Amino acid sequence: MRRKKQKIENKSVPMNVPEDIVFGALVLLVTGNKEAEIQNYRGILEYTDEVIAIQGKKQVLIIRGSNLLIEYFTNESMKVMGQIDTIEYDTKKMRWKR
Amino acid sequence: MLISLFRYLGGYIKLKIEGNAIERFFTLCGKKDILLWNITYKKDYYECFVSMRGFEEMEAIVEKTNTKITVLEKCGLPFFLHCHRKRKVFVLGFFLCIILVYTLSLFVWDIEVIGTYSHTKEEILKYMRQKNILSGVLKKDVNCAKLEEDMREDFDDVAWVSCELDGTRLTVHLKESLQTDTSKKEKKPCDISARKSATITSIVTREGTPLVQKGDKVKKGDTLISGLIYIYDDANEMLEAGKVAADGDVYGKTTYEYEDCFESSYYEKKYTGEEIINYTIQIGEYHIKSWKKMDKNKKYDTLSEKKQLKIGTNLYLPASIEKITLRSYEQKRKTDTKAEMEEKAKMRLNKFLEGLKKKGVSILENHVRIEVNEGKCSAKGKIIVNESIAKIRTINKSAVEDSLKEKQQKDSEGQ
Repeated sequence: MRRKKQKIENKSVPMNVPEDIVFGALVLLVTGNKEAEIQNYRGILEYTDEVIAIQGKKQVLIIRGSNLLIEYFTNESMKVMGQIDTIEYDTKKMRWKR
Repeated sequence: MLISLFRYLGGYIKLKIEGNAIERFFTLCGKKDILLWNITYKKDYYECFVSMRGFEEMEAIVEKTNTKITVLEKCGLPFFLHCHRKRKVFVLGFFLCIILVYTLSLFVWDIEVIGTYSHTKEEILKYMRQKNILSGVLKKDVNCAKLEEDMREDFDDVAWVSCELDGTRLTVHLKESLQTDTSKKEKKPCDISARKSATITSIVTREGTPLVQKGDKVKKGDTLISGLIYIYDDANEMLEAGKVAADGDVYGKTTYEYEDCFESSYYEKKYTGEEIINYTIQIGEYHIKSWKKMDKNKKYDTLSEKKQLKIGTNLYLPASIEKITLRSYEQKRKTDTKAEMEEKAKMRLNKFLEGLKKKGVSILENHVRIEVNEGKCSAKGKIIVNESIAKIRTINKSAVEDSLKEKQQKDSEGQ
């Protein structure tokens, strides 16, 4: 089963199928360092004014900065405002710990 | 902008959220399709906004995640209405205001006349008052088409007229001219009729059936060029009749009676430069005046400027402000000599003739005599001119048929 999935994953790039639809990859639209719109997530793991951690299907997205604020939050998309310093992915630890 | 308006109409709540698993609370809200916005982190707790409906759905999640929710603020229209539900007078006033604006917009509050030259605005307004069209009349009672027709009929030198209702204002566009204004052709079928009694000197028909010839004597109101066209076959039987907008130039010899009389002595005004300014506020038929006293021994000229109040550009209100300026003057009596009087009479006559020429009239004969006797000067006589006598009018069927019958009779007699 796992091997089969791996196979599709490798083939999807030549087939030009968007990854976010097939594998549920995170979609980010970052405007400068003040705004970030995120889609295809599972939920929020942590939210303070300095760190926002978002659970994706395969990885955890961590946004670090200052004065962070969630402008809106729905099932489909959310928007983060504030001074964004770094955006990183954590694929090893599927479970985010504080 | 639009989103915030919808939020305001639906009503929303500012929440304070405390607890251990607040992130889980947010995630669950997302899963339940509850929109949260402006989520801010305040060290010990979070603050966020949620719509009224979202707040009702939230209860289950609150229990599940064991968070504590406090309502900080209620915003939006539903809460505003709930808050002010006991203010009956306010609601009443609000609706009264709407009704008032609506009812005021049902009336004509201002009448404007554009394009007058020899007629004054007051004259036209007075005429309209006789037709029961004045400021304050219901808009639905104003029949623009009928008013146009009446004015064309009753004013001799109005060649073209158009009335329009725009907001609460009735605008009357006039075109005064002795010429039938061919640049502003009627699109509807129409006749050309005689504006006054005359002897026809020339007739050129561009469209329609001419009913008169050069040298004919016509009376006021006679049809000159008919808008009905009859097509005959070889046997002189009518095949069909069509309607067109009659068009053409008709010139005729007409007579003007000229009479002028004045005395040798008259008063001359000499302004002293003293001015008194008063303001009047008029609402409906009521006046409020600021009245500075004027000297009863002095004489004054009155000059008034009126300004009507309006909302926007078209909604005219039945209220106006008037500025009245009084200028004082002194009278001086003067007497003219015989030569001066003759000169004056000639000048007046020339002015009258100039006025006629400006209208496009050519003067053929001038039989005005000037007489001076016993401190009085009188000028009297006839002026014979050649001018356009055409005038647009709606189709008069009977006139055409009569004249055609006559024609046919003449033809048969001739045969």
